[in-house]
Amino acid sequence: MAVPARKGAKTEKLDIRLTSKEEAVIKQAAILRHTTASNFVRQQAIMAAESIIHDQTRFVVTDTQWQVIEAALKQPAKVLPNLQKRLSKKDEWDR
Amino acid sequence: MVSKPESLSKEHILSSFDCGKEPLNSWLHKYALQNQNANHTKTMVFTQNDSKIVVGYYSYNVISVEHVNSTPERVSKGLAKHPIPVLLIARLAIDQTHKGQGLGKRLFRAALKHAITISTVVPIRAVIVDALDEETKAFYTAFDFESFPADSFRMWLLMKDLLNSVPH
Repeated sequence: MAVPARKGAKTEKLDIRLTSKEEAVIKQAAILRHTTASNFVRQQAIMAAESIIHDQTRFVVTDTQWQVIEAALKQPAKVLPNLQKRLSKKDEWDR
Repeated sequence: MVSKPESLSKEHILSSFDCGKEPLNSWLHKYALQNQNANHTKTMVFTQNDSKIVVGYYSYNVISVEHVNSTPERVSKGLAKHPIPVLLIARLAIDQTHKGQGLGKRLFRAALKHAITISTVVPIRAVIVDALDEETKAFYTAFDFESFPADSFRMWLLMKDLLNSVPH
């Protein structure tokens, strides 16, 4: 199944050096998926990259980020109007 | 009509689920139950009424935000910053056949209520979501999530602001 194209034009280019064997394997797999080698590599790399981001169990942050996070945690609690509106809606299982 | 979100189990039918984003489909098909059983990531699912067919899901995990210099040795010596526990909702997806019915919003509202329940037993300080594309960012912005500091792929909401925004 194809990954749908992300919004926005594909303007960036990534150069990858491959052995001839690696290229042949990729081309064969791309044929099996009815796509181009370039599109195949793009789809597979995006899937792998997104999974790595989603599955992080620690966010290691820089000192600058940490200062911002600590400052936010020290602020008094706010009422967020859009959030409040969204939370006030009831679902059938709430009734 | 959909059921109240429930914990993913082997009785659920996942094979037909298609949200249009292949990474979110294949994760549900292949890894969600495995991760649930291994206690890595938990998944809650929406099913079609009176069936076990999954039409939406979110996955979550309690993780820590750590300062770059927070090695365990430094923390134990009192030299470092203590890690901050947060709830990460990494994945949320709705089946394409159910899009445009507000199901995503309902599922996320359920997830936030779930976060409130979790916060009564686990000391989480914030809810963090992965927002890898503009459409997802707009979705979470409508719930008053903001960009996580210096991270263009994540957004966050402070737990205290969530608790304070619960309607009375």
